[in-house]
Amino acid sequence: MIEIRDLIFHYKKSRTVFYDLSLDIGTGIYGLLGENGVGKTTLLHIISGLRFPKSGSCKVLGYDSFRRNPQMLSQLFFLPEEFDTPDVSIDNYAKLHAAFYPNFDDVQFNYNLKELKVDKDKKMNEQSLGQRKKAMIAFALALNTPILLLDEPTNGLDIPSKSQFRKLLASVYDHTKCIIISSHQVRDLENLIDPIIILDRNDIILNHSLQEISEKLLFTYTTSKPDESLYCEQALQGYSSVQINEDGKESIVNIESLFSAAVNNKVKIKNLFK
Amino acid sequence: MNTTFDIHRFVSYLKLRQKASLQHYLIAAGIIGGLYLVTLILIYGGNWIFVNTFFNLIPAVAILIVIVSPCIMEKNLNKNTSVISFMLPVSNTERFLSLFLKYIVILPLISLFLLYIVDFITVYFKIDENIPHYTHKYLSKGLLNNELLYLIFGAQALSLLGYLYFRKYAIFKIALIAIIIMFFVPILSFSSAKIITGIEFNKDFATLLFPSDYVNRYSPPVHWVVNISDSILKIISPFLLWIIAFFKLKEIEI
Repeated sequence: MIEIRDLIFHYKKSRTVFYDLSLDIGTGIYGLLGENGVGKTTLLHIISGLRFPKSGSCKVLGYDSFRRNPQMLSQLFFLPEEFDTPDVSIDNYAKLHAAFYPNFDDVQFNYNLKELKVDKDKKMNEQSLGQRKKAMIAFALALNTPILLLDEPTNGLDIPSKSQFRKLLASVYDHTKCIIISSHQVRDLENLIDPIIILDRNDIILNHSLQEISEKLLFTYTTSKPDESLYCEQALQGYSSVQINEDGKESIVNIESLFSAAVNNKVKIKNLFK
Repeated sequence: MNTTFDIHRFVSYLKLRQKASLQHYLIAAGIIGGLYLVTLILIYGGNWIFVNTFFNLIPAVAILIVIVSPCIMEKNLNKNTSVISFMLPVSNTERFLSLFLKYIVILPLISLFLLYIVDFITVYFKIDENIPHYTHKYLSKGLLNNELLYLIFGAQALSLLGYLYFRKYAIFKIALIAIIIMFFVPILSFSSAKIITGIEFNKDFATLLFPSDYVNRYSPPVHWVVNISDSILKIISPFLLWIIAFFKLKEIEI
């Protein structure tokens, strides 16, 4: 659905964000992870046509993203981390914007608003940041676009709302959709995101499904500190660690530990997943 | 569905921008109307010293509104205000046409209509009885003359380009560019007309803008090179500026 080939992008020539980046993104709920400043939001901007590659290509559903073709845009929605909202209710906002998206589901929209406890008749500017975010999430999920990009969607949401968000996202997802969630709050997205993309400066450390990750890496809790591990963290009842899965044991991927292991052992992880 | 232009999509886009546009039209009308109201108050208050100034100010303010409106009325292009707007499935042609319709067609028509109204109702206030020599016909040949329209829309096109090019303090940067242009273009016109025709122009004419202005002051027929220079200037401003604005809109990155 998204094909990126040899992408080069920089804001200033002295500071390259992406250099010869190539990436294929198909259907699934992708978690886009990375340290601060590696370019997660920039990548989402390039995919959605808000930023243009300096070199290379980014094709979304066969269209060059930089052309901002209406046919492409009607099948993609990007919810940024921060946004200004107009002085209208979310209901009016949806009525005006939904005309551009052929798959918008009004019933789904009203259901999302109800689940997220958003007052659809209240003006968006009169609501808190969290409420506005929830209103836009409700709208974004109801658009049913094949591609949905969410940048830090759970920022500003209270704990019950995060849970509702996960529930709604799981309910709208189907095998024809590609949802990319960029987030630092990986615990909010556990049991939801699969595959995982971990970005590094100018490169990708990892772009694999949880199953592929669990085949190559072992996530364990031990009472004593393991001798060799890619990452080890003291937990309440021992040590949480990430090791190379030499014996093919099964384990559940701990996304936070995976991220820390990947960031601290970039070359090893890249070679392991080649 | 046409990629470049789809009438249903365009109408939906106009409906989306309708509320903000109506507010802007009301603000423009309010400023012109408010100024006229102040003038009437001055007249009936007997403050004749300021009446002339305010009456002259009304068409000037109307023209100023038309010129600076794209820069002032459109939201600043930044990641908070523009991401969702640029994500909208609308073609560049439709975006540009929407701006064109609002600022180059509707707003000037509204301003012109209001000046007509002011002109029309002023007669009924019988101002002329108080100041017999005092007639204000805004819609005289002066206001609707060809060259003035080119200047107004040229300046507005510059304002639109400024809005697209400058993210911060656009209005101040455009004002500075306008001052520089208003300084250099007459000098260029004056010099080129002088070189081409060999006529020694009075330097007092340095306020004239187009090359033919200088030559016309003397006698027709205007030199053909001067005519072409005039035509080139009139193509650049506003038509070429609009074309540049169209392509700049396509290239905007948020």
